[in-house]
Amino acid sequence: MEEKVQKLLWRCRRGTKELDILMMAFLENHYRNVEPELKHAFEAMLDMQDPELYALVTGNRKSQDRHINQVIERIRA
Amino acid sequence: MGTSYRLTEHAYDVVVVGAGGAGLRATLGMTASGLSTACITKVFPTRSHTVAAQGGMSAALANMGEDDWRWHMYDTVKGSDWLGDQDAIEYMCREAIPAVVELEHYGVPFSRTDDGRIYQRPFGGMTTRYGEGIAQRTCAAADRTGHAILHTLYQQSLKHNAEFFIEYFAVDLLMNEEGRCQGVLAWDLATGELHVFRAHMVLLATGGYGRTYFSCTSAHTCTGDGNAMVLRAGLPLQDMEFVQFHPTGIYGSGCLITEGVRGEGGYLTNAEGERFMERYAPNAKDLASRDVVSRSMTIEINEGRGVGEEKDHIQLHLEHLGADLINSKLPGIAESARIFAGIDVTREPIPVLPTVHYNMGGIPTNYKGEVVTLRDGDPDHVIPGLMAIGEAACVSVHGANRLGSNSLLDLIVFGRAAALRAVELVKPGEAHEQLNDGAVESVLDRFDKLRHAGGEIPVAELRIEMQKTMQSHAAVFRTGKLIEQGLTRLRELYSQMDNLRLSDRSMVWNTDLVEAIELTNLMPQAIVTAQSALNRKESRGAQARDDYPERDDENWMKHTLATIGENGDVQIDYRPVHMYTQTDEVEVIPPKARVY
Repeated sequence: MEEKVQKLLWRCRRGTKELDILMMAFLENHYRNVEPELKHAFEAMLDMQDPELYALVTGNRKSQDRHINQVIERIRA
Repeated sequence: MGTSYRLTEHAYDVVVVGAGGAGLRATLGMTASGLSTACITKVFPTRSHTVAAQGGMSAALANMGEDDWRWHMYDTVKGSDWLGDQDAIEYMCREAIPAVVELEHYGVPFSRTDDGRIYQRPFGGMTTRYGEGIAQRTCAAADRTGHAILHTLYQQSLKHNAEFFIEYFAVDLLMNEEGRCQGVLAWDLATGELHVFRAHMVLLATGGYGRTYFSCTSAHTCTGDGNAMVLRAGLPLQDMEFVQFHPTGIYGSGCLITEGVRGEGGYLTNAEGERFMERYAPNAKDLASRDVVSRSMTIEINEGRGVGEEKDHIQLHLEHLGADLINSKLPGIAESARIFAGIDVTREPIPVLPTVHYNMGGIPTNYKGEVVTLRDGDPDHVIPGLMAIGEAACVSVHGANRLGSNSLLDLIVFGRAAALRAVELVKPGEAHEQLNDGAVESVLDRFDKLRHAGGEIPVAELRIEMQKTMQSHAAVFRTGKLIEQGLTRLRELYSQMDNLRLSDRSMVWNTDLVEAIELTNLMPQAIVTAQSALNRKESRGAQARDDYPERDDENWMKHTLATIGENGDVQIDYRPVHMYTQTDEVEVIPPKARVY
């Protein structure tokens, strides 16, 4: 588990500072405690392109994926 | 030495370190010309910081009205406050035109005019007829130009069989005893294996080092790793005192609030609620240039009129604009302020602070991308086997101050130029000379020592001390006394690097160790930056010395070269500014006052 978190921590390094902050905060504050579906959703988000990811986390675009939307809710809370 | 690491060896014609706009453009150019090319990058290519460059890329295409690359050159020289090398600026502005057209052919989806040409918009500092009119010179792919360029160049590079080593951290250059670069040692973060990459030419495209400061707009990954490798090789960095600040980074996070906010009527106030820009710039007020606004804000804070418990920031007001205007004219701002400052811009001001945005200084190169240094009286001595491009390099086209939309241009033009030069210099498939084993050993030794560091200070603690020292002593407002105090503190911190404590000794996804290596990269850059700022006794472009408020062309129209010893002592030397052009198509632009 910890090695995986370390890997995700590295993948939270994005092209912009805004995304660095948001993704890293979810990883550090929520990731370990959420159900597996949300863990997967978060991992899928880390594979997205930055502009797409930014549009999602700032609420400019909604995802079709319920779990991704739940992760975003926590990121934005 | 008691370390034993298994090394995997690779041999390529060329190795590029970094996969931002510059690294990818060079990779594509070299691989498409038949050189075997490896590109090593610590993050996935399309997650390089080039993503953050939304504004666009300048080129005098004249699609939207009259334009001429000579006018672009004039603007860039003036923007540089006459510290830019005019041969390199001439090259950049002339080659901008074919470089953009090539990008279009590769598939970058530039925004278009109704008749199908590349759309161009105006940008600060870009003029026609040597300052008379406003140029429309900046090409953009909607608001995601940087990402579109990365995506396109990465796809093209793969198509031409470039080999990518992704999530590989380049630890250090491998130099031989004659000072030739023979390759680079890198660490595969996913498997923990170490790799030696042999190359006839190593290109550093490792970006800026914004993270030396507490408040910076750059992503976490901007630690100037290539700059630090060059310093460790005993080579100088150039013009490191020139750090561009953006006036409105959100206090705390550093996230950028665009200049457009003040364009739409946003204004700044101090703790007394005073619109202080009216005092500093009675005409332009809050719309004065970046350096003027940043300096005024800093003076307010230094004189005790900062906002907040620690009186250490300024307020940016949009409340009076109303929700409708904010949402229609400034999309995304309300959301950024809510997320990163926790405030509602229709009711409260945004807390802001001048924030590091770009590094004009870096690895000195000629306009072909070859790394140069001063040796035996020759200021243009080429270091064999080594090139640098992009924000890591100091060509120098930005001199003391960079213009908006000239940075993407720099990446593409000099990524392309470096590829052209490498193709001239390297024969495909040529045998590699004997590797300097001593260099490999000493890199491994340093790596191993850090991995097993058993001292007392956590990496994050030392890093924040360094960042705060740089922010308070070597930021916008500079005096000799202030910088000296900062340097004293930085030297203490530098010596504490022997006392770092790392908790994780593993080799796989050891982000603790990565951050420790990055700190050992940031720290010497911080010291060199502060020392160069102390040394330059004038104000020019981004360097504003309160004790030397004027530009002094007689004594200081020259590039600073700074090297650092193992003990942290900095040596300063100089290279002349190139006051000549490459062709007779344009005259040298003689220095005059930089007024807008």
